[in-house]
Amino acid sequence: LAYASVSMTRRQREVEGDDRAAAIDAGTGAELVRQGLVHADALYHLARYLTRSRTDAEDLVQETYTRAFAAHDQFAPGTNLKAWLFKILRNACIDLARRRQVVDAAGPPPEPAVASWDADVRGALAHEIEEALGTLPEPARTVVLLDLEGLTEVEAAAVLGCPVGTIKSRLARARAALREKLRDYGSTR
Amino acid sequence: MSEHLEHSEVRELVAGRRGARLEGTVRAAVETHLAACPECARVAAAERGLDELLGRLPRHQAPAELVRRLEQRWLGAPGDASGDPMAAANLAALPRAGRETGASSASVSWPPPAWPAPAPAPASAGSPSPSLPPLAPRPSRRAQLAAGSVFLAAVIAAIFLWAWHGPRSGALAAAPPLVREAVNDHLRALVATHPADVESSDTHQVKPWLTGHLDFAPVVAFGGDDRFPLVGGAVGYFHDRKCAELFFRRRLHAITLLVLPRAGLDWPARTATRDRGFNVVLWHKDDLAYALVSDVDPAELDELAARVSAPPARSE
Repeated sequence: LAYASVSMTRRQREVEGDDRAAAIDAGTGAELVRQGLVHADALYHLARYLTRSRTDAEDLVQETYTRAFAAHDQFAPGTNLKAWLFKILRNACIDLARRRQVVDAAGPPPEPAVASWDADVRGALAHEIEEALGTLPEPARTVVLLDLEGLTEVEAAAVLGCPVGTIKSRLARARAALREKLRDYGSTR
Repeated sequence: MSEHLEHSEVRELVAGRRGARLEGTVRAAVETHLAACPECARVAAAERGLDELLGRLPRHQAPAELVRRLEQRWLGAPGDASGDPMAAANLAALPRAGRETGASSASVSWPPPAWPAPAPAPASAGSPSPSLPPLAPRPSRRAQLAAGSVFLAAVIAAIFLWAWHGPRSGALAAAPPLVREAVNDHLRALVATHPADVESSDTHQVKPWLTGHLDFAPVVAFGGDDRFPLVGGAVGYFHDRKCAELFFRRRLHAITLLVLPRAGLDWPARTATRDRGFNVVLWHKDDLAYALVSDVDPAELDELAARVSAPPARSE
């Protein structure tokens, strides 16, 4: 498609970042982290939906880059840097949950997103979708979010540390649950 | 190579975003199966519907203050510890002061500024104490009024220029909001990974699906051909109402056709204009309003508009 008139967004930069990551010499942790900074939004987005807390999400993103720096020699050049960072973030999130029982606890309601590209009907709809996603167990929520981020099942399996088949079945169940929760919107049936 | 797929295989392939990533012979095989199997087509449409809903999930952007801290730490800003493992290990313990206030910043700079500008001198921080002698002569009241007048005049001029140039850029003084909304819908389709709720080049699949999800029947005489292939359709919103979105292509250019009820809208009988680099054709026929948006040549967009509105001689 001809996208010439669409201004470059950070999401597009993320895509370009993936391309650049293929050429990274993972020999320097700082360079790897610098390349990974283009995924800060994606990491924060995932962290917000995992923790439902802005401050926890910020801590997790910072922790992710710190861990990435320390473990830079474990990154395989040419693989998906964003997926690798997601894996680190989720592990950090699990550690945080063990310490504080945050993830999947019946915590406070999700804070409103900064993004507000629509209002009224679309805003209300977005809230409903956010609520529906928030009711899923953490692994199911993560699989749906990784799918939306464009990760393949193999990459998602690497993030969650489980077989590809588990990702497929988990995604199918999660989407079926979402369809049921959002059935009032018609086109999901 | 043609492939025959079982129902279970097709339903697995169209699940999640996997359906949007299908390519080549597998994609063709899935489309062939969906064209012949209403039940799998229904499942695929439900998947698309869920994708469309999930595409509206609010996107959380990293707060500006967090991004600034990360950039300071890792992008080689002076005085930071990038490349220093010990300092990096302390990253998580960065001071949280100002985090809450910084998070409310409206925009995040990216790529980052080279280095945060030093805090401006607090020349006007707080109201100066009247007991302190001024360091510089205080401006006279007349000078203050003059400066205020100049500032006010500048603001008024800026507003006037903005208002004057805004409509001109759309070249459609009567209906710029309609043009803007049409282009916005086209942009959303461009940016979306998978804009179509129902992906098919078969108008007999797309139109019934749209009709089933709308409270009106979108009358579109043209169902696509080699010159303007139909890519798919979706249900969207145009201001306060649902609209049918049909996606065509011309070479590598995307074309969005919007069809919606025109009751209550000041929809032009026919006009062609440009907005943000896109050509837009608006027209109406009977009770329906139409908008075509694309970056293809205006003549080609006119040609497609004529075919969309033509009597359906060959469509059924």
